[in-house]
Amino acid sequence: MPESDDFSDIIRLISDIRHGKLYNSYDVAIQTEELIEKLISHGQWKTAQELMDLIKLRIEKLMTALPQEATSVNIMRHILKIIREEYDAGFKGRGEGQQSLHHLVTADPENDADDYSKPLSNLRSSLLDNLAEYKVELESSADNIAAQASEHIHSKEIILTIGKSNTVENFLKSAAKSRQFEVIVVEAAPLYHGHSMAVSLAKSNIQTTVISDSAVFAMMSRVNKVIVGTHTVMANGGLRAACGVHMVALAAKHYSVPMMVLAHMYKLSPVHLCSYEQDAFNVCASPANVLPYSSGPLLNKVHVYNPVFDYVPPELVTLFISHQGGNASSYVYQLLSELYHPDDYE
Amino acid sequence: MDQSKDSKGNKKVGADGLTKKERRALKVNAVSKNVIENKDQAKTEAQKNPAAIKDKATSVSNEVKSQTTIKKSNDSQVSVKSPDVSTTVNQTNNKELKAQRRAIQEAQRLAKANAKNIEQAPGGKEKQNDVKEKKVEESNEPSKAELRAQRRAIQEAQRLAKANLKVEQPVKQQKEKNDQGKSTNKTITSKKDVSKSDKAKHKVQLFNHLYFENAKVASLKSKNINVDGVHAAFIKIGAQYSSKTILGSNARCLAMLSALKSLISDFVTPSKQEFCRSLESTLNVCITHLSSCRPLAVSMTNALKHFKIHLTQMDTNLSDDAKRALLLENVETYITDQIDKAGEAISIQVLGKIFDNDVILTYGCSSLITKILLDAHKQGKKFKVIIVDGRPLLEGREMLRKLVCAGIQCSYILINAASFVMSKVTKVLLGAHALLANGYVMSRTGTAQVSLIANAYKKPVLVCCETYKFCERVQMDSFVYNEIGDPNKLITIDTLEENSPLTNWENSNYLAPLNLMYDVTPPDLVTAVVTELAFLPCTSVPVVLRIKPTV
Amino acid sequence: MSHKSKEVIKKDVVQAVVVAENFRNDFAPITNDTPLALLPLLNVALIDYTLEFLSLGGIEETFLFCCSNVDLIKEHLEKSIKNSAGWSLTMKVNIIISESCRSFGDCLRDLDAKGLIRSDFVLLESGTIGNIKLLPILKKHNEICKVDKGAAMTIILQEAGVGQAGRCLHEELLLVSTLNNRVLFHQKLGRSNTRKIELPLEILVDNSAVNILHNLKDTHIAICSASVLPLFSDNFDFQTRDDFVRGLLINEEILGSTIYWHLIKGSQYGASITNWRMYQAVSREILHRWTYPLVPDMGISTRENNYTHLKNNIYRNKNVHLAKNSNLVEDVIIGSGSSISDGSQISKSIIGENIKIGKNVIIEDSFIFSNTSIGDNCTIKHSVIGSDCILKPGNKVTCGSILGKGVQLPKDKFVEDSLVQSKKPEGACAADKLGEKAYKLKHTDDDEESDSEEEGLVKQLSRLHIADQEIEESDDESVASSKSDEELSYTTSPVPDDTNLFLTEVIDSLARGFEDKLQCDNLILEINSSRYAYNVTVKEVNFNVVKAILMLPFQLSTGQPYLHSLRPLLVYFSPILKNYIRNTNAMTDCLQAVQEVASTNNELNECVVTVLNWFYNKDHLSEEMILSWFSGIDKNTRFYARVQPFINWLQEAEEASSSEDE
Repeated sequence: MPESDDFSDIIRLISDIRHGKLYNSYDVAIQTEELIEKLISHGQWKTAQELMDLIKLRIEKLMTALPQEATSVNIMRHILKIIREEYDAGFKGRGEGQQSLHHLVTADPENDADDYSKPLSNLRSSLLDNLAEYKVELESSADNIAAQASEHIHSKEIILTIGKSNTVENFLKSAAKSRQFEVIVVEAAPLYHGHSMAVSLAKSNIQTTVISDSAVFAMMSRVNKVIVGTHTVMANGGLRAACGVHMVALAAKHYSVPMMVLAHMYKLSPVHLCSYEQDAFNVCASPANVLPYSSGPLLNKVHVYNPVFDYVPPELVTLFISHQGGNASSYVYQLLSELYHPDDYE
Repeated sequence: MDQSKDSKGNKKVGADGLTKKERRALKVNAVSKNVIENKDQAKTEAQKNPAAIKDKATSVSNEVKSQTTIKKSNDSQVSVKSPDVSTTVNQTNNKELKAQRRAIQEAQRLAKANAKNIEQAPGGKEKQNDVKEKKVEESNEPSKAELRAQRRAIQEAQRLAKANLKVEQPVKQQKEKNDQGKSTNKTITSKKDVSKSDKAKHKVQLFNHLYFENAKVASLKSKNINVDGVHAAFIKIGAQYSSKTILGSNARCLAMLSALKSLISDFVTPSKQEFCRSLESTLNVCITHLSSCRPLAVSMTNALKHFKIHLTQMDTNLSDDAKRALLLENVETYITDQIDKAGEAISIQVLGKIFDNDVILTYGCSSLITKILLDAHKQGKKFKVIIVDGRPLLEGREMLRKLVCAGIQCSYILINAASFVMSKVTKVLLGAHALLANGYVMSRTGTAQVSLIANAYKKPVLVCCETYKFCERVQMDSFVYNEIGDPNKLITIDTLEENSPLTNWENSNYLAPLNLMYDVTPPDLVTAVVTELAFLPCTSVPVVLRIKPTV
Repeated sequence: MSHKSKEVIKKDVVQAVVVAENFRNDFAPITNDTPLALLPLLNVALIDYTLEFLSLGGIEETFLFCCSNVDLIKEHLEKSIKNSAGWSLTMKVNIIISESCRSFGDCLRDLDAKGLIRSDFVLLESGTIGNIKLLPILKKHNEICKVDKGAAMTIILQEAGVGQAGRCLHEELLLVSTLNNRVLFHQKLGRSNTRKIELPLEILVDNSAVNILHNLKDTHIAICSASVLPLFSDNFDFQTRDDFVRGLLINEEILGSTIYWHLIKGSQYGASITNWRMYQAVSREILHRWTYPLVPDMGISTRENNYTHLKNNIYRNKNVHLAKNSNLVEDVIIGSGSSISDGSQISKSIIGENIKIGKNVIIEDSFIFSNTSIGDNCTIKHSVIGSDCILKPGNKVTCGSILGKGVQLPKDKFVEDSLVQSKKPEGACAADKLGEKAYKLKHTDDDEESDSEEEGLVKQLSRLHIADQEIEESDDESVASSKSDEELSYTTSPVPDDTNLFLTEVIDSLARGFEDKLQCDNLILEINSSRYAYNVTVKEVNFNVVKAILMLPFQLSTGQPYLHSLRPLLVYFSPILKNYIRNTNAMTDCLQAVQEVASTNNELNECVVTVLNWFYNKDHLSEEMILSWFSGIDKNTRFYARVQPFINWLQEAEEASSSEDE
């Protein structure tokens, strides 16, 4: 691997994410994609193997720095997969990699199945084309999801959502074009993004009700559907979503209200829940959003927690909607194997 | 658009209806003085009435300065006359009313003449204003009528004064008070649809039936403070209820009972009156006032029921003082037995279930739970408490303060983080607003949510509730009967850098913050209810109701 | 790209000035060889927090003033730039070396001479950390400048409750400002010994409405116009920022410049480590994540975050060896490469890197810097152990002791409330020698007022925990009362009736007498004279004198718990007591005074037994008097309950050292 490779690009990405300059996951996705595109076009690499190493190193750096940040890692993982496929396409005769069971059985260990070190002339160009495609896919993803809205929302429905997710926002708005329905927005303390969500929904003439987090259960019995966004979809179909979603999901389950999760493909990540403890799963933000600093001597004694994420087990999720359409949570593993190459999981 | 709605609202009242309304409003006004100090002599009365006249007069027109002198003289003359006027009541009433009506008509004429006077009319009589405004639009008369009008107005005023003077014979007070009771109701309701008209677009359809209450409260805020025939103590706690300074069913009940006590001890039987019955009627007035401030808590209604039973069963041939003493004692015992001792008993029971290294999760601020935890701490039990809090009331902070100052190890989270800590919890203790006959637990919004999460993590949920909060009502969701708090409470956030974007939600027709006060927890989410009697399943509420007839 | 989302206020870069020195040796002996900037805070150098904070805040260029151990700091910065610390990406740091500077003011003068600052800049004092979004505030300051040409500085303050750990007692701040946040009056109460505040009348004359605030803590962060530097150069008497503020406010019309203040809200936090107590408080607050995202598990300046954050705010490095039955209670952080053996219990402590902790060690409220080894059965409470120390088994280090770098304690030493350093200080007597590499520093135990001397602050480090205990002891009734006497201790304003006037008179004279150590005889004279002035009876005099003494601790509000401050007072004033409490009547008066004060404020009530016991031992009170008085008290008061044990003890006539005393 060439020495000249400083990780300035990835480091900058990390610091931007950490400084909150890149907030919503879509921006992160695009940034990452561009980053890799640059790497491919300008980076020093001869063979696919080298390129993949470069990318893997970046993935590693990112994961050590921001274990919670899944999106951009996923993007890179997917690109790795693209590279493999391109490479395989480059050399005919190499089948679908691990895809077919037959291949698995017949493949002898010395098989060059995962040897990508042969130089390939037009790899760079073809990769760039692929990435261009991929980028378009990313950019259109939001609209594709929104487009399905009318299939899921009928008129006079009461939809409940929590906090603010751009995907959900677009989804509802596009539904509002053709349908009359009512939305209940849970304000989602302690950041209260629900408020701005409600405002923007009301702007596009959707009848919106804002309730506090505590009123979720009370309202749920009249709700027809719950529609939420998520931060990550985990390998088992569970969610790492904004804090409060679990509570909503439970209430929905209790009243058997269908719960839909809108997730871009890049939110699917091949990670499993290791523990409910924070390590690598959750993170606590400043308690100031829960209890003001001016509360006085209390604070010397009290522990105030302000977790950012919730784990929502798959059985609480009725349906995932990606730009490719709806899927049950039990199907996530298949999507994963389509998105990423098994070797890139860890 | 408000304007248009307003005028509509009044239109349907119509000209005749208007007069009726006037009659009540003004009668109330006139009589109020007598009631407030009904032991006063004619003299003071007389002095008072001119005041009443004056402000009516001013409400009629402000630039009658020229006449004020005359009025003064009239006043004195009136007060001289006062002791020896004697005619029958209904007569005076009629007279009075006629007088009133005339006065008003004059007022409207004047109003037309110069509208600015109307603004200056005291807030006590908004309806009058509406009427005037309406009249302003319609009527158009030569402005020279003005002076005549004024003179008339003054004369009316004087007659009115005389009329009022006669309203002293205690015989009528009873009756009057009653229809005051009615009248207050009426005024409230009539206010309601005014204030409702502008609320209309900001309602969550599901809760149309509840906004009624909400509107009431709103209307009360605009209402001037001294409500007729309501004892000062009740007015006080009324204000405290509506401003939510007294919160929690126990606190509210206690406040009411103490107010009741002061009412009893201050109450003087109007002559030729039976103590209990007159007391009861006065009490009714007070209660209607309270419920107009904020819907009564179940605990309160139960307490009242209990009290009234005793009131009616009181044997009539006791002296008033004896009765008074009995009643006071009765209230006392209710407080000690039903509330204090019950609390003690429950606390003792729960203490048996709190062990060292427990992590107890509780929601909001229940006085009973606080007591229990403090007791447990005093007993030297080593346990941690996680206080879950829910907006907009954030009562949990108060709870936190109490517990921390007592030296209990506490953590504090908002309700949406409940599932984050639940795995570590060993018990969930919850307070209750009421226990319904079908075993549902009615409590602060969020309680159901917490118990749901607790169930998801298989944690025992104990609801602590004195049996005096049990009630026969059955209810299966939080919609049919609930209370809607001030939606703006939802907008104010003390922990954010900038204000919520919702701040001017009124401007949008599609936006409506909803601030529910209570929710009901289905029995299958509650492991057990701790009452002073025993650990019970929720479902045995009806049994308790049967064996405890006093509740 | 990084600039994209950041709205830059001006064309030229946003600048900050950090003065890395605080020109006082608060942190001796730790800071003898390491500069304050490199003082480890949760195992990360202080300066890293500051720089990361600035870069997060949107600063693009920082000037760092160093006066001592410059090369150490340089080295550190180069290192962190090499492995591309977070701040190094978005911010340029220039070190300015000025050995000559002796004060904060000097640095700014020097900076002015260098003429590096082009526009508004952010000014930080030493050891400042936070997570404040500076750009909006800069913008605000800019707008103010447009309106008010004279606007020189916007000081950034944060709301903080009375008695909050993060609010330094010496910086009890009283601020008066106009409604548009122009500062009219600004006084650090803690610094001045006088407990009175004189507001200049014109403040109220000139302004129709003013805000008077006491609920603020100083973040030691300020936005400055370029005009600030010249102002410093012109006025050589400006040594600190507070001098500057005061100076500008006093002769506002002369200098023609004004000061504004900004209140940070929401999740924004700022604090400055000015002494050990603040050091402890800030550490705690970082552990409690007030500085988010500047928290250990997010990685302060490194990109790798090696810490995992567990419940009860326990932070554990990835490679830490914990014995199975070692116990981390709460608020603990353990650095990489450390190992903790069986049966050790750690709470509220910072464990540095590569620390070996033996068996059955107890560590509470302490700070242990890197590469130290602690033998079995050691107990460390409320102390700071410098780096590279070696504690042999069985040592006990408590009460705000501070061990410097490389101290080696031999077996079974007991170090309490003292400073220890490895090399022999000049004029160290034999008693000070604890071991080959452990010498106590000179240590005087009297004056309470010593703010700036280290052992005053060391005391506070220990005081803090006693305050904690206070809270634990006080029970639920004291909720209301404890609040109320918090107020009481900060606003003592009695009703002006004659005896009350007398009381205040007495309190004042006593307070003054105590502060500048007047003869008690003179005080007695004073009291008598004021007695005649207000012509109060002998009875009242006795009563009020005792009362005054008991109230005094609230008057001179040195944040320490009541009993602590009362003891020396009683000792000091005992001649006065002797003088007034002569006969049995006087005794009853005295007792009544005790009772009254105790009943009005909880703190005395807490320790009334101790006080009574003291009176008794000093023969101010006779046994039978106490008993007779006691029989008079209402049985079901808390006071009664409090005194009960003492009485029992009297009746049983046990040994004086009974367990109730503490």
